[in-house]
Parts: sequence; structure tokens; C-alpha cells
Amino acid sequence: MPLKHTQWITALIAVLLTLPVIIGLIGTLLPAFQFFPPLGEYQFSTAPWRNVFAQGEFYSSLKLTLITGIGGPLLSLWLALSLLAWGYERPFFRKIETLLSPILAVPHAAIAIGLLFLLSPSGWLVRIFSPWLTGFDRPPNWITVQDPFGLSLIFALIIKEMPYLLFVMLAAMKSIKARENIQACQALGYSRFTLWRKVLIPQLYPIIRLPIFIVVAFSLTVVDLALVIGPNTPSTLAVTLYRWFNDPDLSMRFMASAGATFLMVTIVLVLGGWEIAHRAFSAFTRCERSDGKRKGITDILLGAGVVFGLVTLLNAFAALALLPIWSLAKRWRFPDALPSTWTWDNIERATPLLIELTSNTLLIAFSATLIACAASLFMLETKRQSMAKSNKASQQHAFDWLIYVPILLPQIGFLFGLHVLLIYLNLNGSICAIIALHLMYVLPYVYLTLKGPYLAYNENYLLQANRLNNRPWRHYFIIKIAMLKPALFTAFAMGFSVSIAQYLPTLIAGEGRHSTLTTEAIAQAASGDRKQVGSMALLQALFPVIVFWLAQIIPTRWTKWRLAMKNFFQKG
Amino acid sequence: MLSVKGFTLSSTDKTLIRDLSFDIADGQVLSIMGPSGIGKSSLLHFLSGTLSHSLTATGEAFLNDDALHTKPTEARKVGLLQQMPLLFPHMSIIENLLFAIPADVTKETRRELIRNALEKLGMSDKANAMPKELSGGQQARVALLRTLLAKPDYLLLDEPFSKLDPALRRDVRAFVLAEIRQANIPALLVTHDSEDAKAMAGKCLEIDAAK
Amino acid sequence: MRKSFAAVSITAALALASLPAQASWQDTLEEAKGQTVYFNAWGGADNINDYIQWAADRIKDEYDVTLKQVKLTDTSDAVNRVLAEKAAGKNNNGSIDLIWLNGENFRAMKDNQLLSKPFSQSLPNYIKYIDESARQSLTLDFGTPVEGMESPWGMAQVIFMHDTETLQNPPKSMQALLTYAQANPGRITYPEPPQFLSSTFLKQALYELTAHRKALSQPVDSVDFDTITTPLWGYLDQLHQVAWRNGQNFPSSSEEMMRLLDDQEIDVALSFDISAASVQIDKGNLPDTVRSYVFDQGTIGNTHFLAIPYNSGANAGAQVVANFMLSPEAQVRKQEPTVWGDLSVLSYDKLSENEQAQFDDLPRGIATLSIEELGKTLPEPHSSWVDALETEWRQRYAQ
Repeated sequence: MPLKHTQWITALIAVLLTLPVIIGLIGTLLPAFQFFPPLGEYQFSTAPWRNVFAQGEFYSSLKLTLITGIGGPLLSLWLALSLLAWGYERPFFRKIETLLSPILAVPHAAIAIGLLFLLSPSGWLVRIFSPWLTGFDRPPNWITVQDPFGLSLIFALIIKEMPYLLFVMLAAMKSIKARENIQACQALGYSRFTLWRKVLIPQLYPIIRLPIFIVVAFSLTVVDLALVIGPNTPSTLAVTLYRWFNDPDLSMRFMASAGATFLMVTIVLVLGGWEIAHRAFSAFTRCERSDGKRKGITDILLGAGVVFGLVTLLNAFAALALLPIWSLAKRWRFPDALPSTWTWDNIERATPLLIELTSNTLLIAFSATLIACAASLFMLETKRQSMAKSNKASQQHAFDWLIYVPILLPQIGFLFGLHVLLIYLNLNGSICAIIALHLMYVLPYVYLTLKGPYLAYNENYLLQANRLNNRPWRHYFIIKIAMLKPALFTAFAMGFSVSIAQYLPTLIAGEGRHSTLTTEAIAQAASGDRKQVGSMALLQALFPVIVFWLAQIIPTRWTKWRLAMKNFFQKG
Repeated sequence: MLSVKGFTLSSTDKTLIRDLSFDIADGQVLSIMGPSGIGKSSLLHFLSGTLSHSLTATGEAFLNDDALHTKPTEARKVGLLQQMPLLFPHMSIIENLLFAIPADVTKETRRELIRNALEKLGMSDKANAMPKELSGGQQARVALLRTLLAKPDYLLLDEPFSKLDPALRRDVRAFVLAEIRQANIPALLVTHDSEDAKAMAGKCLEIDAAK
Repeated sequence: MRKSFAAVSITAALALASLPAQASWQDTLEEAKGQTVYFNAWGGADNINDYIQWAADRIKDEYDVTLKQVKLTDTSDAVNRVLAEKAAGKNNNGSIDLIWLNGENFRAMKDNQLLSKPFSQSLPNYIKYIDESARQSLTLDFGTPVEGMESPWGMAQVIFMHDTETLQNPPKSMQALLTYAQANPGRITYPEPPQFLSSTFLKQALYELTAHRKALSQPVDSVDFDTITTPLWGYLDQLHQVAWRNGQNFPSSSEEMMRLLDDQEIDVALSFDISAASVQIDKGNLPDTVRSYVFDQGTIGNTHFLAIPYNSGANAGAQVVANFMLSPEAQVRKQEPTVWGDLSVLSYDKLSENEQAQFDDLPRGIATLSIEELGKTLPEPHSSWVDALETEWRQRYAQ
């Protein structure tokens, strides 16, 4: 892009990105110190903090949050790396790769509900073995889900996060010249897992550091997933805060704000600790990498990761496959493995709403994602130019961390402050406000997905084009953008599915006046009705899956189709 | 005629090339040889106006007494052929070639130019093929023709033959030389293969590390 | 003569008094024309959403007011939104025109001046059909005086459900429930506080177990909480040992309890909706052998209301909606078991014969109890008890 004044564009976008974040933060920080005029509080005080720290439930919630919020990402990372090391560039792994997109596309709440049905004592796993093997005529009184240690929550987190990490890693493989590395190492006699452990993973980690941080922050703050499948005596801190924020006793809000602030500090500390742990670990394993051993016993770790990873994927697909069955079920009691009576009623009941919900959902998702794609291109171009100027390969740009702030902050609390801003601007309740808020959450994912391919683009193509005839803007689109099609389409699909899944931002910015498939699905999930949730989740997942699928098939066929059309019209 | 006067190239810590001067007449090829890392390619970047910011170059370049070094890249009318043919992978051969022809040429003439070019290449049947369906030698030839179709005023060749099979190289070299003669423009070839230089039938300049 | 004169003057006085009232209702109807009323209501039940849609169609036809339901997962979302608007100084044209609420949410909004000026007692249908003395909960919402700031919509009472296939004679008191749980470990549970049904279960248990029932109508600060509630905690300690999932997990809602009842994980479910069992059987979510019942000593009941936020931009339209919801037509349909099954708030005696007949003719779902079978309604304790019980519960069992 022949941009001029890149530093001004950078500054402008940075301000646009930071402003809502700062206002959201202020909206949380002031009540955390008891300042909140609408409730008649004009005096600063530390009372909310004293109240938080006096709550026994706060400590037990925090402990649970730390266990699930660190355990989930750690295990996800392990399993994702294992699967990648095992299957990279193997033909059957390609098939698994294409299956990842449905999991990425399906909203968390739907996965959690599916998983709950799969694993609970009256769930599908127990059903297929009952009563002929287990002898159970009625479900056993086991705690297989919502267990007090948060194991089922960790499992649900892995199911959602491992595919995302795998997706990010696959995208990053090109930039570390994985194939050349593998060939070279294999020629030297290294076994597959060992060369990954010693050569590729250390190169890969710095590229995927931010996605990992996103996953950690998500695990520490997730509400919908933890509500469904997490323990409730106590719940995780995010759920506890959510309850405090929603308490009819409005003075609970102060304590909740203080807790939300504490949660933000916790995220920063955990991320800092994670980074320190990673550095310590690399320093510790550094000499081991060059000891010349072609195999090692730690390879077993990656091998075991493959087994667990496959089991996890299998569970995810089972959970996803069971939901649509519910949408067609009338009676489906324990211990039947399939419904005893079927019906179209559940789907028919959902149809009248569909047109409005679908058009709202698509309008918001398309607008937010298109804007995010355009903004990402601007940002990446300014980053590329400043990189080219300073001639450093790994220059840290302001965008690289600014953009992630919204998704690293807990949505609860932060969004309330933002809502007040929207009301001041008189933007509340409009579709534009929803799109703007979605943009905050879509942009980081689009930017992140596009960043690698965009910066790796061989600029010589564009330079060559401009040497041939100098039309920089036109060439930017018909050469660079056209060549980056696959990356752009993937980034679009990613952003699209993120937008579709947004619940709190849609509700808060739209003030509930604009329903989407997700707000409707979660409103119905509140009733715990698996049939309703099944039909809604099916629809909710449908569009992202289609978009992901199109993103895979269009770029490879685009030129062929375009040429065919051209020929057709020329002949005609 | 392309003239370079007193070209000096230095990186942050040392001088790479000192006080290099030469002239290239129209239709002639000057070959420059030297070990890698010496700054041969940087000379080409200096002439095309895309020199990296980490290097500093002084000196002057003229095309028919017109100063080049003060102009931005897009105003220089330079043709550059690199190691990689850089055919745009998402465009057919004909589109790649069409892409190069200046916009002010009429539609009829464009077609004519392309037809001639493809015939010259003996690839009339490949018009709608995609770059990846072509062999390396074919790609290199298409890339050269594409560069020439843009009617450059001078041509820079950055080891354009090094990625080709030895058997192909001879053909491609001959083709390139013939095209340059026909276009009647000065060309500068950077290479570390003395065969390249010989084949171009012009002067050869060897650079050593600056002392 | 003197008598008739007096009669005439009384009639005249009445006419004079009611004229401005009628005139102002006419004004309200005029003002409401063309307005859009955003009705924030819990949207977790299809049948209730359908009922609201029916009302919206009727109101559009009759009054030219557009009613749009904003489906909430939690009523406090709406309370928060009004609060955010107040924080931003948006004191008119707020995003919410009507809220479905009661109890704590009402108290929170009333205490923080988030509600409009009193309106319900001047609604024509309220004047015509409501008998405030019929039920305490019409004027005292969980102990908070209503004072015309919300308009009654329906009445609810706690009911229990059991599957006659697995459980013939369900436990009809708290003590019997514990005995049953001890004989059948893992089959009894109740919703997790602070879910509203859960606090109702705790209050129900407290009613039966404490020796100080009268203290429950007092604000919790003015009584000895520990002494009054000791028997409750002793009871729960025993119950949790033999409860579903050993008392480490609790279902989050009535809907989840019914799901667990259908999955046969538990034997007794509870609901605040007297026709819940019939509706769910009809949808195929419960077997048709499920029946409702109440405890021998009666169960807790309350009234739910419609309120208008202080910054509503369609106050007149919202009043028209609240008035329509109080019409016999709307209340009869609401009480129909296959529609919703929510009990009418109208005074039976104030209805015309024809209207009474409509209520009499209502069919009952196969698992819905009649008014007589529902028996005695226990009043809600003062609303301050909710918070106190929930907090104490979470301190004891959720850490």
C-alpha cells in the first residue's frame, strides 16, 4: 500500500484502539474504590477491597481459577504441539486439519452443553454401556462433570483451545521453514519427536507466544463455559464476579469491581509468571538441545500427548455430533443411546425467528469482519514500512501489544464501563455500536491470522509490478492482495466466527434490542433445554462452518474460475 | 548509454566497493563478477533505486546524460531480472505478460505484442497456462519478455541464470542477449559464473574486496 | 326527597371524580399511539415468549402500540442497564420501557430511584379487577411496599414434581424429604443459591424447621438470625451428605432440575410455575407419568409484576401494555395450561359472570394441580432474608 505519513496513521489507530479500553478500565476502577455517582457514592474508599478480601469464597474461587486457567492452556499447548509434531505434512493429518474449523466455529456454550451431555452420569457415554455392561437402570451418583477440582472444566477448555493453538501453529509453520528443517534434521538421523523438541518447537514458540497469552487470559476469565461445566461450590472467580455484578443488591457491584480489578492483575501476574517459566525452561533445556542425541526419553511425553490429543478431538467431535441429534429428539431418556421418538417440532419452533436473527447475525459479522480486515491491512502495512525503514526483522510495533488488550481483559466489569461511554456518545442500542464492539474482539484475531503471511510476503512481486508500470494502489490490490487471498480468506473466516460467538458485547452494545443467533441461543441455554440449544447451536455453527469451508476452497479455485469466466465472456 | 561514476558502497562498519566507474553502450551487456557479499547486488539496487537503508552509497548514475540517482524508482524506467522469475502465481502467462505492457498501448497492439512474444518463445499453446505449469527455463524466458514488454530504458540482471539447469542456461543466455540487442538498451549483469559473462559477449568487470 | 337528593349529589361527586381520571387515561391512550415499548423479560421459556408475542399482536391491533420483547437471561441485566444509563446521565429515552420483575430486583430499583412515578393504581383494569386485600403479595412484594410502582401480572407458587413410575408416595415435608434422601442416597437435591428458586427452597425449609416463624416477616437485621436459622443449617448438613453428587454440585435452575428428573438422576424436582410439569410433558421433556404436588403445610407463593424505569421514553405505551396484561382476556389466556398456566391476579368476585365462566372452563394439564389442591400459600419472608440466607449458604457450602 503506497501509504504516506505512516506514523500518523499508526498514532490514529493506536488512539482509536486505546480509548475504549481506557474508558472501560476507568469504569471498573472507580467503583472498585467506591466511587459511583449513580448509586450516590462520591467518596473514595478501600471498603470494596476489604470486602473482597474478607470473602472466603473469593480465595477458593481464585484457587480454582488459577488451577483451571493455567492447567487448561498448559495441557492444550502440550497436546497441540504433540499432535503437530506427530502429524505435520502427513496426508491423513490434512483431513484432521480441515475438521478443526467446525470446532473453532462452534460457540463455547454449545460445546460445553454437548460435552455435559456426553460425560455426565446420565450422559451418552454411560448410556451406550448401560444397562448391558454396567447394570445401571438409573444413572449412577457419580461426579464426572462439574467436579470440585475443575477437571471437567479443564477438559472443556482444552477442547476449545487446542484446535485454536493447532490452527495458529499450522499457520506459523511456513515462516520457520519447517519442511527444510525437518529434511535437514532427518538427514542427520534425528527422530521425528526429537527434532521437533530440539529444533522446531523452540523456533515456533516465540511466534505463537501471543496466541498462547490470549488462551491463558481466556481461560482465566471465561464465564459461559465455566457456568455450564465448571464446579459451582465454589465457582471460578470469573463466575463468582459475574454473580456479584448481577446481584440484585446493587452495592455488590463495588466488591465485584474490586474483584474484577484483582482478576486483571492476576492475568498480568500469570502471564508474567508464564513467560519467566518459559525462559527458565529454555535455559534449562538449552544444552540438552545440542548434546547430539538423536532420540530421548522425553519423546514419550510428545507420544503420550498424541494419544491424549486424539482422545480429546474424538470427544469434541462426539459432543458436536450429539447436539444436532437433540434438535430432532422428542423423547430421549436414560439409558437409550438414541431418541425413542423423533420430531421436527424443535426446528419448526425455531424457524419463525430465524430470518430476523440470521440477517442481524450476518450483517454484524460481515461488517465487523470486513472492517477488521481493512484495518488489519492498514496496520500491517504501516508495521511493514516501519520495519523496512529500521531494517530489523523482529521489531516490536505498538500495535503488536495494543491490539490484544481488549481480549486480554476480562469482559465482565470492563464492558460495563464501555456501555456508559456508548450512552454518552448516544450510540447505545444501535447496530453500529454492536459492530464497533465486535470489532474490538474481531480485530485482534484477524490481525494475528494475517500478520505472518502478510509480513512474509515477498515484496519483490509488488516492486516488480511497479517497475513494469507504476500504479501503486491498483497493483497493491491486484498483485499483493490477490496473492494473499488464502491468508485473507482464512483471517476473514476466523474473524467471522469470533463475531458470531460474541455474547456479552452484543447484549451490552445492542441493549438486547438486536438479537443474534448467539444471544438467542444463550438465552435458551439459560433454560437448559438441550433440544432448543441443539437447534440453535446447529444454526450458530452453520455459518462459520460454511465460511471456513469457503475460505478453504475459494482461493485455490479463484483464478481458474476467473479465467473460465473471462474466456466465456470473450467468446460470447 | 548507461554511465556510473565514482560509485562507493559502505555498510555501517566497512566500505564494500570504492570508486567504481563504467559506461555501457546501448545493446551492450556489461558483466560484473566478484565473490558473494561484496555488494554486487547492492549496485543493482542502487541503480534501480531500492537500496536497503542499512547501506550507504555515493556516486552518480546517468542514462544518456540524464541523472538517474536523483529519481525515485518508479520514474527510472528500469527493467530488473532476478534469480527468481517472480511470475505472479495467481495470473496466467498471458496475464503476466499483459501486465507489463504500458497502459497507453491500444488493445489491438497489446494483443499483437503478446502474440509475437509468445511465438518468439515458441509457447503460443501456453498462453492460458499458469506459471507453475512451466519449466524453469520457460519461466525465466517469460520473465525476461515481461520485463522487456514494459519498454525499460536500461536492464539490470541479477544472476538470472543461476537457478537454471546447466543445459538450459546456454539457451536462455542466448535468448537474453538476442533480446537485449534487439531492444537496443544498455544492460548490466551481475554474476559469479564466468560462463555467464563470456556468453554475454561484452566487457567484464571483476570486483575484489575494497582495500 | 332528601334521600334522593343526597343520592344524586353522591353520583355527581363520583362522576366529577372519575371524569378527570378517565380523561387522563384517554390522554395516555392517545399519547401511546405509535410508541414502541421495549419489554425486558426473562426469555428462557418458549411458551412464555409465545404468550408475550400473542399479547404484542393484540396490543398492536387495539392500541397501535408496538410491543417488543427483549429476552433476558437474568432480570438483573435490565437493572444493570438502567443503572448504566443513570451513570451516563441518560435520564430520558432510556432503552427499557417495561421490566418483568419482583422481590429483590424490585427493591433494588425502588431503593435506587430507578423506577417511574407510581402508575399501577390508576390503570383502569387495576381499579376494576384487583382486590388488594385478597393477597398480601399484591401490595407487599417480598416485604417491600409496592406503592403503585409496579403492576401485578401473575401469581406463582412453589410446586414439587415426581415421576409416579419410580416414586409412588413423594415426601410431603422437609423431614420426609430428608428421610427419603437417606434411604435413597443421591436422588434428592435443590437449586444452587443465589438462584431465586433456591432461596425459596431455603425459605420453605426455614418455615418448616424454625420455631420462630413470625420473625421471618421482619427485616433480618432486627432479629436473631443465628438462633432462627440454626435448625436449617443442621438440616442441610444432614441432607448434603446423602444428596445428589454428595452435595458438591447443585442444579442451576428449575429447568435443569426437570432435566435431571427426566434423566432419572434425581427423584424430586421443584418449580415456581404450577403448570411446569404439564408444559414439559407436552414438549416431550418429561415422561407423562410425572405429577405435581405440594407439601402438607403449604408452599411459598408470590406475585410477579411489571414496572416502568424512570427514564422510559414510552411511559404511556408501557402503561397501556400493563393495563392490557390485567384484562380478563389476557389473564384467562395466560392461565391456560398449554399456553403458560400462570395464575390470574384478578379478583374472581370482581369479574362478570361471563368472565368467571371463562376461568371456570379452563382445562387443566394432566400434571397441574387445581387451586384447591395447591392448598395454603405461605407468604414470602421479608426480602432482606434472601440475601442473608444466600450469603450464609455460600459461606457454609461454597468454599
